[in-house]
Amino acid sequence: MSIFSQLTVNGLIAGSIYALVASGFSLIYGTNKFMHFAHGVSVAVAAYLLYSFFSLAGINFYFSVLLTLIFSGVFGLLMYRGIYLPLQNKKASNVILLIASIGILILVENLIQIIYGADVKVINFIEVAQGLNFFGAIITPLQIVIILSSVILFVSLYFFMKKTRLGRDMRAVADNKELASIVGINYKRVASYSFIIGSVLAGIAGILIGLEQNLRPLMGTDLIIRGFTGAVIGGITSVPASILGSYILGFAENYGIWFLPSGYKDAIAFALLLIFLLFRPRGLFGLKREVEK
Amino acid sequence: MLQIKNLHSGYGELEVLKGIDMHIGDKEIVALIGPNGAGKSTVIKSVFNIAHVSSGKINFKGKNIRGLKTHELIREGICYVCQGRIIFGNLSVRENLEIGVELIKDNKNSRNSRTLAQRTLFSDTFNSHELKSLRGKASSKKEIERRINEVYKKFPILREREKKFAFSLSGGERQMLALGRALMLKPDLLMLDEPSLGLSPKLQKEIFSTIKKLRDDFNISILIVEQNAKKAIEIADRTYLLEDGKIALEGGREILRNKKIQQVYLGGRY
Ligand SMILES: Nc1ncnc2c1ncn2[C@@H]1O[C@H](COP(=O)(O)OP(=O)(O)O)[C@@H](O)[C@H]1O
Ligand SMILES: [Mg+2]
Repeated sequence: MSIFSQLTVNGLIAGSIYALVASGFSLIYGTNKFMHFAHGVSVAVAAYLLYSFFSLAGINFYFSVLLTLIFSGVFGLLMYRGIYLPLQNKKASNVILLIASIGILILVENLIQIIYGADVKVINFIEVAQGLNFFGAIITPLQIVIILSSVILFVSLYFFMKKTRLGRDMRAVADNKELASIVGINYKRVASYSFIIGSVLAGIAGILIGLEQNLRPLMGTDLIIRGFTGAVIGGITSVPASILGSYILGFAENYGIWFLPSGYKDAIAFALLLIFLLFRPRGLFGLKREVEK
Repeated sequence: MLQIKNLHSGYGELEVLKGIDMHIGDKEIVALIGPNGAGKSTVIKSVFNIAHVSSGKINFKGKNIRGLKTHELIREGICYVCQGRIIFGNLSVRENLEIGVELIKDNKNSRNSRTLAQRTLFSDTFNSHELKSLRGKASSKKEIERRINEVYKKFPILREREKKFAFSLSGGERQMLALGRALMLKPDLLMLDEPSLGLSPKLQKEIFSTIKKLRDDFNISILIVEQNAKKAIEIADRTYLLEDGKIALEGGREILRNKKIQQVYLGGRY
């Protein structure tokens, strides 16, 4: 029973982190309709920024977090305005943009490696705390923070999309970009905001992961594969569906250890990704709306 | 109101419009008819900077509007109900109605706050004090509410469906929603691309009589693009026939008796 509890808790933690990555990825995909795989490196950049501000420069922790989030938003906006938008203006297809995004991912990962070195880094904010016993499972206070803050974020994101004008405009652009322009929405403005918000979400993921795990230059690639898989499982066009899909992935990976050696954890994500891409590309919860001609 | 002079336009290398001249007067209903692929939609898309205009003039109320960005045109007072996907399926019916009007309210530029006051659905019923108060933010909300109620009065089915996702609407209801959304802005010029497309004959009749009434109810000019030539000619003051990217014929309702029109366009369901 306690193994089951522990796997459940671990699945919940993994799912929360994947969902933080997937939600931003899917938000950006919705308004822009291309795969922003460099989203993964936004997470890594945030983790390394927090390490630089807090561990290297010795800035107050909460101020470091604030700075990291601001830089994350700026980093997202720069990628859009500096690389994707100029390409779009040259009528680049979404496949070109996807290749560009992989280019950014690799480039920035290598920059991180040049600047910080290939060895792992640790942000020593929280002393290794006594784990709490939760229905037979051990969970640290930080892990509780990860789970709670992601849930709070997802609820806020939901209300932002449903209740604010910008959220509605994002849904309108995601629905039909040309019609959105016709009714007066400045598409580039909405796309810029989606990059800022999506990248800040990635920044939050980076901060939480950075506190929980070691920092590695290639951590972004691992995470975007998980986030992307979660989004595909749920349904990439819908942010809530991507979030649910990510939790499913988190649980699948962890319960999988019951049946498989733990070295197969990565294989589970890839297998699920392939299965969904082949047999159910719209995901479990993706809307199958009749498409008007 | 709208003047188009020697317009050449198309998509990339493809030239669709090969020098057309058109104009639409104040409170005039103008029909644009012609075979499939003639370039009717491209005329509207050129005004909205969706098709690529290579040369020619587009003036609206004396102002050159060629080159304005697509999203800037509603602020000039032109609304466009396009062909095909005319509503946001993933937004509620009410959100579909609110979406344009808030953008206009948003803009701080003086012309726009003025137009909001001037373009109220029943501006004649406001006194000057009320007109002024409309520019304040609080009463703008009230104003949006008022306009939505006017649209609901015109299309009561939309009120019933208010909270539903728009993709659940039928073809006729979608057309009403698209018209309603455009009317929320009280435009000076409304451009409709094939509003009867895909509707049953009964609904087509309804839509045409609705459009005809819009001019008087809302004091606007209307350009209606149609393949249903007879109906369009009947409700229009003037008609242009577009063939192969050129205006082949122009005239009032009398062109219904024109030999060519009768042979080619009134024989079938053109
Ligand atoms: N987005 C586009 N890209 C390339 N060609 C287009 C596009 N839209 C329309 N066309 C072409 O332009 C011509 C005129 O189209 P259109 O204006 O839609 O005609 P109509 O509305 O009269 O049926 C057609 O030959 C069509 O294939
Ligand atoms: Mg057309």
